[in-house]
Amino acid sequence: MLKLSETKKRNIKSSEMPRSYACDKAVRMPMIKLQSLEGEVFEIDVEIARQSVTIKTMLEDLGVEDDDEEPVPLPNVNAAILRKVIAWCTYHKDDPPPPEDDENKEKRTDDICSWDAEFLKVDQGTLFELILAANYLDIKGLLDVTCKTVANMIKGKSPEEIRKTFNIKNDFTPAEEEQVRKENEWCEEK
Amino acid sequence: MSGGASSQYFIQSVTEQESSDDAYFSCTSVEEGIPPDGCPNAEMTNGVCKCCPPDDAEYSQDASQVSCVNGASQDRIKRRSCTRQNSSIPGEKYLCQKDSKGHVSRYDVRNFQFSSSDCYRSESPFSQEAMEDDEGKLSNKNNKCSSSDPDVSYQPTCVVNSWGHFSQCVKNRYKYRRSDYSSESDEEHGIPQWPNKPDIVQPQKSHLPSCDLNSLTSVLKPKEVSKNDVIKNIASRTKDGIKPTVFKEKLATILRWFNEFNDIQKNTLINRLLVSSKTGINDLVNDFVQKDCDLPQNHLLSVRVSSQLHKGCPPNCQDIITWLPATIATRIMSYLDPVSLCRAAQVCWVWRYITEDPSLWRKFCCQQKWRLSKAAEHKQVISHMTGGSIMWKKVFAERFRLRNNWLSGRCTVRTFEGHSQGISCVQFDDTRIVSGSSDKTIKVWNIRTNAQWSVQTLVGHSGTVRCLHLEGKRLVSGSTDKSIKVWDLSTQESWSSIACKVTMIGHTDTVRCLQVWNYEGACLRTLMGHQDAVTCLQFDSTRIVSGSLDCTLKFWDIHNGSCVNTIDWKDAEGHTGVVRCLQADSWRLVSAADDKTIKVWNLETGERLVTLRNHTDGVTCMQFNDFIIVSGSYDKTVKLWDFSCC
Repeated sequence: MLKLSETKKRNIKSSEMPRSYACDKAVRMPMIKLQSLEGEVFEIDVEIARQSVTIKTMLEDLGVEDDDEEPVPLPNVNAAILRKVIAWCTYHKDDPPPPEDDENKEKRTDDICSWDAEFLKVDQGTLFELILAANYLDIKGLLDVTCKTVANMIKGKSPEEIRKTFNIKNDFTPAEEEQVRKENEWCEEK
Repeated sequence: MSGGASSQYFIQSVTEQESSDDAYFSCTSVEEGIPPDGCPNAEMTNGVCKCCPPDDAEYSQDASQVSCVNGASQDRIKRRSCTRQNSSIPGEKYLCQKDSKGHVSRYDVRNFQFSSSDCYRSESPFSQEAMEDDEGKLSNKNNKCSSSDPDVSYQPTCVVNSWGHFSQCVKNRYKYRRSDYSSESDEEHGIPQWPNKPDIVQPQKSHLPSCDLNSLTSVLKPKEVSKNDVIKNIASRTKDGIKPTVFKEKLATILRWFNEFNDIQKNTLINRLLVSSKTGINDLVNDFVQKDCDLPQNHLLSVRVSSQLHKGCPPNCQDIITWLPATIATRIMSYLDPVSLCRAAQVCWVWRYITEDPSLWRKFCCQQKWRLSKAAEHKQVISHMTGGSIMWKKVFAERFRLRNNWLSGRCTVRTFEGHSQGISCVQFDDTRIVSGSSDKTIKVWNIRTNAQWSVQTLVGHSGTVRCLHLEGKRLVSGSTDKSIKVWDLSTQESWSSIACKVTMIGHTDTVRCLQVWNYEGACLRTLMGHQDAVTCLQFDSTRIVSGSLDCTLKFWDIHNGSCVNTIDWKDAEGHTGVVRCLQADSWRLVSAADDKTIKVWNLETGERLVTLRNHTDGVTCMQFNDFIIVSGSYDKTVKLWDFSCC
């Protein structure tokens, strides 16, 4: 049985393909090449790549063909982070599309799946870069889960504890600090 | 030719100083007059053999031997004899070596040693040192020294000298190692015993590439000696690198490349080099398994660089939130609850700015939990407008405190006195409270103050005013005198007789309750459950709440009529007296009873939130909104309970 890829190599037009090979189309996995900023190229399934709205739009606008030899350049993402993003997208490729943000619904942060939680056990620098990459590539699910992770690092902590977590220097003068504290003391009322 | 393209010995330098020389020598015996095969630098010029020399060395011919002068140090070496290893040629086989100081010695193969008798030292006064290694171990005719091969267990007394003589020690034997010898010879020797050799302690790997056996640590920790540790230490410091001349070239190339990179590319390189473990268990690809930088590099970095690392950085350079684009930072903050958001505002200036974003707070205000009645919201929002924009955080803060006040029963109570008998009904709006009493009068109180003079009394009924309904300026009252009166309350003081617009007579008995509404319908269902008369009820689209003479409150499902919950005084701290009236809104239920209390309940769960005590007699009627409860009682007073923030 002739594989579709082989037919292409032999320059057989798909319209000329005999009917009996039609079933081959079902197993075809179109791939797309992505190039990180250092020039490293990653080849992944187009369906996985389409989780990124940026790439999806690019595909639609440019009409990138399957088996195109030109990799899609992603100059804002380095190889290590791109690798991680691809790993996330691959795991989540069968996820239903995320629902639209409901303005009036309370946002939860306790609904991160355990795989994601493990995946995001990285240093803050990597988390930072993942957020930027998810934003650039417009992958809503990844952006949501990374933002939730950071939010969880803030929740439930006192200001001093937050500073310790993020290595922040307190740049309020004592007077300013007192003023800010007064402005916000209502939240501490029981 | 044996041993491959270049039969060379290599001598490892154990000092940090790099000699650009290879200190390899391998050349033909001059006597043969044959250039060494495979020796890449060999030239035969007038019988002079030049091979693997330092670039600036000169050679002169001397008698039957080649001698070389170390041009760099300007020492004149009298003689150098060198021979190339050629196993097929028995007899004189010599290996020469030259150390960084230019001292040359010849290796006597048959005796397996670098023989001092063949060493020609410069005239420098330090010539003696050439014979000694860093530890003062002599490398001369009597003392053999060797260094370890990491694979082999080693005698603790073996050390490496400055010439990098090394050998393998197999069990109790020394074996001089020759890299490309076609044959190896073992030698059986006793292990030289170094007197008073201190026991040494080594970490698994030294953080300093050139760190030798640290006698200080041995003083501190005399107990932890391990042969393997020693071997490993020595092995680590004599680890094979690339040859120094090759290294020099490669280093220059790498530096040139590095300088061509931009910052991103430089960072990429550094990222790859630095120690990084596998990034998470879920990676599809095995990346970062290879450690390019290890302990010695990390130590160097920490010593040289750590104090400098953030010198030029802007403040809070490591803070994620500060350096993300504002939209993303806000997005992260949008996942926080109000309390966390307030605490985040106190962290630093940037965080304060981000958390003050009105859109975050408006989002809270729009959530069902925090909504007020439409009218109240409208008023509140207007009160917090500055220059056309709404200060949502302040709006939210007010609602937050209001809710907390309700939940903890914090309120101020104002008492309106004036009726001469018990109050039977009460209503209020933005400006006034209206109460009807058994004394047949209706009093209209100014809600802002309870001064005596700001009350209007409406006289007209001839019986207890049993019920009221206040709608804007219209007041409708019903009474035991079987009449309904409509009053007009304008802001001008109008006295009772003028105010009463209409009297409607028609009922044959007490008008007990009324409400102005439009409704047509038929009885769908009858809900049974109360033990006694139902005195009050309220309903919405999902449920009915009723209060009864049996002192209980009941919640009913409006669709199937089943009683969902009963609140009595035994199980749920319910009323101990007849429930006279109740009212509910989106999340709370307020009830008043003959037990002199008003109780506030969570509408969903039925949990009692607050009990308000102030009346001195049974509370007969009550109405509330988001901010206040107004209640009337048998004790002839009207009370206003104010939960809004002071």
